[in-house]
Amino acid sequence: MVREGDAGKKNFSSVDDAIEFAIGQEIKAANFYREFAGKATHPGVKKMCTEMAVEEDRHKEMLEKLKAGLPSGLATDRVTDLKISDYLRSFRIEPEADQQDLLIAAMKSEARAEQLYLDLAAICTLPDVKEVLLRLAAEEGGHKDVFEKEYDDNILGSN
Amino acid sequence: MSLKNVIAPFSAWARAVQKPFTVPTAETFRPGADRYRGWHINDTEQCIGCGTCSDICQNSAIDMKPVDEPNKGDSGLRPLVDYGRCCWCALCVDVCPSGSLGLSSNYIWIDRDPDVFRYIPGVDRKEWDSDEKGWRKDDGFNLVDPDRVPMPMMMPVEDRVKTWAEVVLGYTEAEARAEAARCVECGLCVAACPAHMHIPDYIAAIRDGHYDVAVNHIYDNNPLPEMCGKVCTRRCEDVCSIGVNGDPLAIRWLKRFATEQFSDLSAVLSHEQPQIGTGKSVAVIGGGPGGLTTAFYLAVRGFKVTVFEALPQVGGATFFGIPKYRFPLGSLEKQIKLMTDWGVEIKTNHKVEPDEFKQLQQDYDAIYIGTGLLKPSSLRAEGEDLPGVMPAIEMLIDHHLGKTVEVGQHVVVVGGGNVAIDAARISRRLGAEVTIAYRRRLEDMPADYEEIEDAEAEGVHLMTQNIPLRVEQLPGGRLDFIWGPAEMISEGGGRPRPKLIEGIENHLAVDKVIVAIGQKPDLRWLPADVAEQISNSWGGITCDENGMTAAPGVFAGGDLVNSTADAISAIADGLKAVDGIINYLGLGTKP
Repeated sequence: MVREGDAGKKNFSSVDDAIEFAIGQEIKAANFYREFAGKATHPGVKKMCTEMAVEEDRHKEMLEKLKAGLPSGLATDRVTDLKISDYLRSFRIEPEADQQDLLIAAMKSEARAEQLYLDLAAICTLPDVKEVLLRLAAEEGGHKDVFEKEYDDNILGSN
Repeated sequence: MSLKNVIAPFSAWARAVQKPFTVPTAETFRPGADRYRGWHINDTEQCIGCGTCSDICQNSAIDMKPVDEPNKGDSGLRPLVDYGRCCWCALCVDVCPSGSLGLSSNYIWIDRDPDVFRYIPGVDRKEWDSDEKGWRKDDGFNLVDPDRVPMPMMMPVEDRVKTWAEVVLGYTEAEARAEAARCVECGLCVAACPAHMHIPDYIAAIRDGHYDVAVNHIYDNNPLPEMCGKVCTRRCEDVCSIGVNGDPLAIRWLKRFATEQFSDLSAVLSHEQPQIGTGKSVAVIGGGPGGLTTAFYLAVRGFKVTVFEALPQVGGATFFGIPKYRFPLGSLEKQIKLMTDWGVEIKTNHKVEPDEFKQLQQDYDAIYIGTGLLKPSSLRAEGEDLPGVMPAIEMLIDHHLGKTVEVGQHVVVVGGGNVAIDAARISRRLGAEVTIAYRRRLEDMPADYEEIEDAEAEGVHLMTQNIPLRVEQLPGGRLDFIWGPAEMISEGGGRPRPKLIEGIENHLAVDKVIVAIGQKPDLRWLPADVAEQISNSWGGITCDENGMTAAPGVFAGGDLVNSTADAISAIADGLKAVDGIINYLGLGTKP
């Protein structure tokens, strides 16, 4: 779960450095969802958190493949941005959160992650590292897109 | 006998050595006339397998054969023509609702094998399949009237918004029988109806004036037909074969007509059922269409059934969610009275809490959960906590409970479903100017198209591709509804999605913002362990093919379970649960 102020403004010295950082972010996110699953009181939220944690594990595996030079499936271009999370207000997620709350929190977290990698790429001086950071930003944007589409389909079905 | 008469028979032998006048095949093949009635052709893509051609054939020359899996509005059957019986009268072509069937102008077909003269046009390929000449259904000529009998509505529109009286007035007897006569009894509607109602049977009964028979057909698998007859989503009409090239049968309104013929349904309904449930009890939590269906069909089979309803009135969304100008309360109460007369016990103002649920599991042999979706989804936009921003579902419940609902002079309703339309039309009747703000396009609105048309006719202004950004306070207690325009983007051929066009903000000054973007499940009234056991990741309930949850003996249905979110689907879930409960308790399959 990417929070405000994560990583500061790091200038990575290598591709592996950047990937390691990203792997750490995915581990943090998976841990957050698993921890929240333990605290959630709204029916079904535990299950949704567990599914989200498994998805973060999958992202981590993609990055590990990327680091090992294997085909990773990592995004190369930014997908369409529905901007749903842009006009939803931020809030602190509580144990009583329902599925709508959780999805908003997840969307905004992915949005922050995408912006983080874009910011890191902006200050990066190494072309190959910059390229990886931009791909990571596109990947996080893709994750945000998935959550936004779920929100669009399941929460905003009547709108 | 003369010599001539003796010789005459032998003179025929002279023909044996003469060249015959007849030839084995025509030397000159004269093409058939433009409208010649030759061999059958069928556009199998256009054909819906309704079987009307088979029904009308006077010689029983057409049988319907399966060629594909059934699909929505298509039985998967196609006509097989037997030319040992066909007389080429072309009634099959003239009656074909889809216009797929025709007769080619080709009349020559020579073959020693008689079996080839039974074939499925369009499936068994023939050289005349692409023949553009031949007999086709005349434009403008119809054996079945393609036009629906118009439904009388309260007019003019200006009168409608001043009253809560029912807008749709209902068919007269003559109108109903005329409309029923348009049915070709193909049965495609039966498959499309989630409850698989006996539609052709009750329509035929209405046509013949046997309304008691019609009501008995209806009540075989729908205990809320007057409700369905007024507000159903009518998937049946979407697949009506007459609707392919004309107006579909007014199945919904015919159902309404039949049930409205009797003020006391007990007098005409036969409810004799084997009392297989004697000594068994079932608790139904939630008195909506699904719960009431489960309760009714178990009660008539001897089960002791108790319905627990949190609100002062059962009916669920059909009570609090549907305005009375669409579905009068008296109509609902009549159907509920039949249920209570036939043994369903109803406890209103009774919200089940976790401890009581545990007790119900001890005291009853099975439980059905049909509590629906009562928790509104919130805008999550800045300013949504300001006074004057209210969820539509709470507004509707307050209104139907007789509480005063203040909407002011100008209202914006956010959303495009039936709840949004209902909130909008109620607000009009409360004297407000109403704008509906919807994120997507008009064609994407999930509300019933008739409701949308009626709302617009009543002066509701529709704003589409409208994304709410925030709500701000204005002087005098008014609100500034700030919204941005959306562009629609498509990905991979799926439904287009709205995307905010940044940098543009529009303002609408209103007295109330009514939020109708959707409802979500809330199972926190259940014990936590049961809720976790039976809920899915979206907070709804997952059931097996028998309607049972992961908790043994606990069944569920309706909006908590299915995604179609309409009353007839909830009724279908109730019917499934009845079977499921009977089998679960080892009482055998439902007779």
